This record gives sequence, C-alpha cells and structure tokens, in this order.
Amino acid sequence: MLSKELVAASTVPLVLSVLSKGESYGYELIQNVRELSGGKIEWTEGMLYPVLHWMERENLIESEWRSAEDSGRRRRYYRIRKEGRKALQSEQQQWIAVHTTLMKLWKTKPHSI
Amino acid sequence: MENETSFDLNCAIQRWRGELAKSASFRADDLEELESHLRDSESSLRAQGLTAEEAFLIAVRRTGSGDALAAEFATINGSSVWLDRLLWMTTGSITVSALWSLTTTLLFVRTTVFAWLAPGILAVALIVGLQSNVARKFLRAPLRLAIAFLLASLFSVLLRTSLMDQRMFGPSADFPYMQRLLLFNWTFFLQFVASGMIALFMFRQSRRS
Repeated sequence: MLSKELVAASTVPLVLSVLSKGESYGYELIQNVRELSGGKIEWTEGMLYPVLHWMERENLIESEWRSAEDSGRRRRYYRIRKEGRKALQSEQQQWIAVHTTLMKLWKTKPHSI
Repeated sequence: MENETSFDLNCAIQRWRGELAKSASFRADDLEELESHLRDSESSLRAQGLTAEEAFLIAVRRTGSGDALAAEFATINGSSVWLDRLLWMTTGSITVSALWSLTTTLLFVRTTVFAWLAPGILAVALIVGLQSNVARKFLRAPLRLAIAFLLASLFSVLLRTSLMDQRMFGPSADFPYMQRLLLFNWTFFLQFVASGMIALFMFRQSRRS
C-alpha cells in the first residue's frame, strides 16, 4: 500500500497516463489502476472524484455525460486535453528523475535497504 | 429468492442518494456520478454471484461513509458550500425583512413586490447560475465568488433601501436619486471593498494550492 503522501502526489500523473491512452470513467479508472498495480494502489471514490473535478477545473481533462453503448448506463467520461498532455510530460520527467536516482543508489548499496 | 424479489435496488439507491443529498458538499452532478459508480460496483458484485441486496450493501460499504465522502467533496466544492450558506442567509434575511415590513406598513404590496421581488429573483438566479457548469467553464472559482458577492451586496442594498424608500422603484421612481444612492451609499461601498478583498484573498489562495 502507498503512503497517503505518495497517493496524493501520484494520482494526477496516473490519471493523466491512463487517460492518455483513451477516455475512461471513474469506476473504470479505479479498476484499471488496481489491476496495473497488482492491487497495491487502491483508490477510493471519495479521493478520486474530487481530484478528477479539480483536474477538469484546471483544464487538464474534460468530461462528458454519455450513455454506455453496451449497457445504456449513463456515465461521466473523462478525456485528456492538450494542457493535460503537457502536464503529463513534465510529470514524466520528474518521476523518471526520482526513479533513476533511487535505482542508482539502491543498485550500489542493495543491502542497506 | 424471496429477498431478491422484495429488495428494490432503485428504491435503495434513491434512499442512499437522499441521505448524501442532505450534505451541502455535493453538487447534483457529483451525486449523479457517485450513483453511476455505485451501480457499476453493484453489478460487478452481482456478476460474482451475490444477490442484489448483498451486492448493494457491499457496494455502499466500499464507497465509504457519507460523512467521509462529504468531507472529501467539500475540499473541491468549498466555494459552492459557501455560496450555499450565503443563499440561505439571503433567503433568511429576505423573509425577516418581508415579515417586518408586512407588520409595519400597508404599502407592503406596492413597495415590496415592485421594489425587490424582480431584482431579488434575478440576483438569486444569477448566483445559482454562477454555479452551473457553463459558468465554471468560463470563470474561475474566485471570480465567480466575487461576482456572487457583489450581486449579494447590491441586492441587500436594494432590499434595505427599497423597503424604506418609495423613490427607489415603482411608479414614482426617481432614477438619478437611485444612482446617487448606489454610488454614495456607504454600506454598499463597504461591502464592495470587503467583497473585493475576499475575492483577492481567495484568488491568492487558489494560486497557492
């Protein structure tokens, strides 16, 4: 399980990354991320929806109410915007910088963890 | 089997939604989205072999308690919660002034209905309209808040003066007088300054976060 701070920091890049592959809705986003993380990242509705709405307000993503083609259920679909793709790029650089630094450190001193 | 027939999912969802709707933290759109989520969650649980009632109970449980949900949504809908309170305060003050004027003057119908019912409805409609998705697209939260605040102050000045003064509206309205009142009324001026400062503060806060 991720710490609260890491969840807060990683939700936006994760949402942007999933949406960069195609539109999605809240329930599917939660399922998707749970599967991809092997159950390590469990988002709650109470956490995710306010973040999605904030991201929409910041113009990173946009949403649209539509009925699903298969079940006819009305859902709010989220799509990434140009600003969102830009933000994702900068997020990517930052996360890769942290990741590679940690990996280098841990490779040289594997027993100290 | 009996349980499945006696349990009405739509009814249960309506009741659950009604409970959440008691909190001002949710906008109608949020509730719609949470319901759609609950239905997805419920049907996937039912596909695993649970009855409708079991699936519903577990889906609700997973969504978390209403209070916890409300607290999380309040962080994003903060300004709308605040506006909601403002609306209630405005409604309250209108009611009190109306009752007061009803008891003190027989000119109630003429001064009240003509004077502030129309601008009042307009102001409330504008404040509510500022919360709509259309307004959200074009105006940022602090700006919407500032406009709502200005509307509310303008409305309260109109309300107070028109209740006491027939020169404001109606057949004998004196427009230059009205302009003077709006421009040089110190309460309006104070509210104007206060709303400007609050809007500025909100704007800086939102920049920081």
